[in-house]
Amino acid sequence: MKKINRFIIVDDDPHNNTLCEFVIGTITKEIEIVDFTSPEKGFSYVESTYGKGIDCPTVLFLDINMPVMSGWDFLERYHTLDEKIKKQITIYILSSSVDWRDKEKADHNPYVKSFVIKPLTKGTVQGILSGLL
Amino acid sequence: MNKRLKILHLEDLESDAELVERALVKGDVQFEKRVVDNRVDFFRELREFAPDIILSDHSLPSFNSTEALKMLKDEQISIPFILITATISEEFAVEVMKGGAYDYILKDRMQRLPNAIYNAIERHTLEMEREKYIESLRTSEANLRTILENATTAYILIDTNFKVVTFNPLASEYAKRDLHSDLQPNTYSIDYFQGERRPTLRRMLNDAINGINSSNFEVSFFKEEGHLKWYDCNIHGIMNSEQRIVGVILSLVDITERKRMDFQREKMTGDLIQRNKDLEQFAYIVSHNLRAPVANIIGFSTLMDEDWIDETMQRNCIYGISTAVKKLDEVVHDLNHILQIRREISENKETVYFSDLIESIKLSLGGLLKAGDVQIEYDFSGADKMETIKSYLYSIFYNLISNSIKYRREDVAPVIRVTSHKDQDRLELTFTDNGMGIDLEANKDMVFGLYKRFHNHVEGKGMGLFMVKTQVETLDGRITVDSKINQGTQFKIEFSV
Repeated sequence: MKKINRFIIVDDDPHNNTLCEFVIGTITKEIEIVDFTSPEKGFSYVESTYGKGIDCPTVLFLDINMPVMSGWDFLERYHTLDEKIKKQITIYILSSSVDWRDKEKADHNPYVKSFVIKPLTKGTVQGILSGLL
Repeated sequence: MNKRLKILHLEDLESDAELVERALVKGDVQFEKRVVDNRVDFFRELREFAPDIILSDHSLPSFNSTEALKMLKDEQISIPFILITATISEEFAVEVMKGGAYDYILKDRMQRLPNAIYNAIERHTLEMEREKYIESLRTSEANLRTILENATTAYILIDTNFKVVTFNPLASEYAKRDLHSDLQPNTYSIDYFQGERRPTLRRMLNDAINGINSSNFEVSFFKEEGHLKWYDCNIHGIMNSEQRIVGVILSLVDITERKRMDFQREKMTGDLIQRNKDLEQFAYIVSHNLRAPVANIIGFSTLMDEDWIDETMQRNCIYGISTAVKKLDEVVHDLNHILQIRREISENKETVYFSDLIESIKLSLGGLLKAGDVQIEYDFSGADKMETIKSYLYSIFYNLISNSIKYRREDVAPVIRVTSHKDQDRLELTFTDNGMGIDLEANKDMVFGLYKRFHNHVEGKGMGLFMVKTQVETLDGRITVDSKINQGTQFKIEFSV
C-alpha cells in the first residue's frame, strides 16, 4: 500500500471526529486530517480537491447514520466520480452500528474496504497504515 | 300359491257357503275360511282373522255388500273383495265395482271363482306396491323440497337450451337483490346477467352441458349502497340414469361475510407487518443511538489511559466523555418519553376545540411568531372539535406548527394554514406551510422515523415527527405527508369518528 498522505473523516457527530483526530494523533502527527460534520461538504471537498488529478493517497472514514445525506447516499454519489479520484481514496465505514445488515451492505459495496465499528482505535489506525486492514 | 289363503265369507245361507267351498276345493285352492252373516261379526273378523280376500253375498238380512265395501273404505282397510250373487243387473255390477269390488261371480258360474280370487289377489298386490312406490316418491320429493327451500345455497336448474327450469326461494331472493329481476321458469337464464358477464357464463354452461368440465368460481355483484356481495358459484351438469346430461345446476353460496373477514384479516396482517417493521426500525435506531455515545466514551476513556497525554488532552477527553454521557442520558429520556405515549392511552378523552389549541400554541410561541413574521391561519368550519386526548392533540398541533416555523424558507415569511374536513365517518386535519419542504423521493420511508433528520442547518433531534406519528397512531389515526422542496409541506391527519 502506498504511503497515506491524508485522513478524511465524514461524520455528523463532532465528538467522534475529535476522538478520531486524537487517536490518529497518538500514532502519527505527519498525516493531514480533514473532518466534515456535513457529508455534502465532505463530498464537495473530495470532488474538487481530487478532481484536479493530484497524487495524494487518502483514507476516508465514513459514518452511515447522518441526516440529509447518509453514508449510503454518499457512496452512491461517489460511484459517479472520475476513476482518477477514486484511485486516490480508500473508504472505511466507521459506524457505531452493530447491526449485521449494515455490515453486510458495506461488504457488498465495491468502494468500501472494510467496516470499522466505533470507536476508532490505535490498533485499527496502525492496521490501516501498515496495509493490514 | 303355497300359503293357505285366508278367506272371509259374508253369507247367511249355509248351502251357498258350501257351494263356494266346493268350488274352491275343486279348484285346488289351499284355504282357511270363516263365514259371517252380520255387520258385527264381519267387522270383528276383519281385525282378528285378517283375511287375504273377502267373498260376499250381496244381500243378507241385516247387512249387504255395499255396506261391507263402505265399511272397508271407512276403516281404510285394503282387502280384495269379490261379490258372489245369484242374479245381477249390469248397472248394479258397475256400481259395485265402483264401490271397490275387484270382481263379481254369478252363482251358476262358480267354476270361475278360483281364478277370480288369484287375479284379485295379484291385482291387489300390484296396487299395494304401486301405492307404496308413489308414497315413497312423494316423501322423497317432499324431503328434497324441504332441503331446497331451506338451503343456504341458491339453486337454479337450467336445461340444455339455457332455459330456467326451476329454482329455490333463495335463488329468487338473490336474483331480486343483486340482479334486480324476478326469476321465472322457462326464461332464458343468461339474460338475467349483465352484458359483459354473458359470454363467460354461456361458455361455462356450454362446458357443463357438453360434459367438458364443471366450473367453480367466486363472483361479486355491486349492491346499491356500493357494497359488494360475493358468491361462491358452482356450475355442473345433471346426468340422468343413462349417463346423459339433461341440464345444468347453478348453485350460489353467499360468501360476503367470509370475504369481508378475509379482507379484514389481510388488512390486519398488513398493519401488523407494518407495526413489526416500525418496531424493528425503532429497535435498530435506538440501539444505534445508544451505541454512538457509548463508542465515544470507550474511545475517550481508552485515550486517557495513555501515559503520555498532557493536561489539555486530558481535559478534551473528559469533555468528550461528559458530552457523550449527556447524550446517552438524553436518548434514555427520549425512550422513556416515547414508551410513555404508547402506554398512557388511559388518559380521559374530552371535547377539544381546534381553534383553542391554535390560540394557546400562538400564545406559547409568542415572540417567535413576531420575530419570524409568522402567520398562522385556520378554518375549522368543516369540523371545529373532536373527542380526544387533549394533551396528545396539542402536542401534534404544536410539533407540526413549530416544525413549519423551524423549517421555513429563509426569504419567505412563513404562512401556516390549518383546516378541517369531515365526512360520514372520518375527520381530516390538514396542515399546510410554505417552508423549505422535504425531499420525499429520497426520504419517503423515513419522514416519520425516529432520529431522522432532513436538514442540517437547523437544530433538531429527529424526534418531532416520530412523536407526532406515534401520538396520531395512539389516537387510532393516520398521518400522511406531501411535500415539494422550496414550495412547502402538507401533513394530513385522518381520524375515524
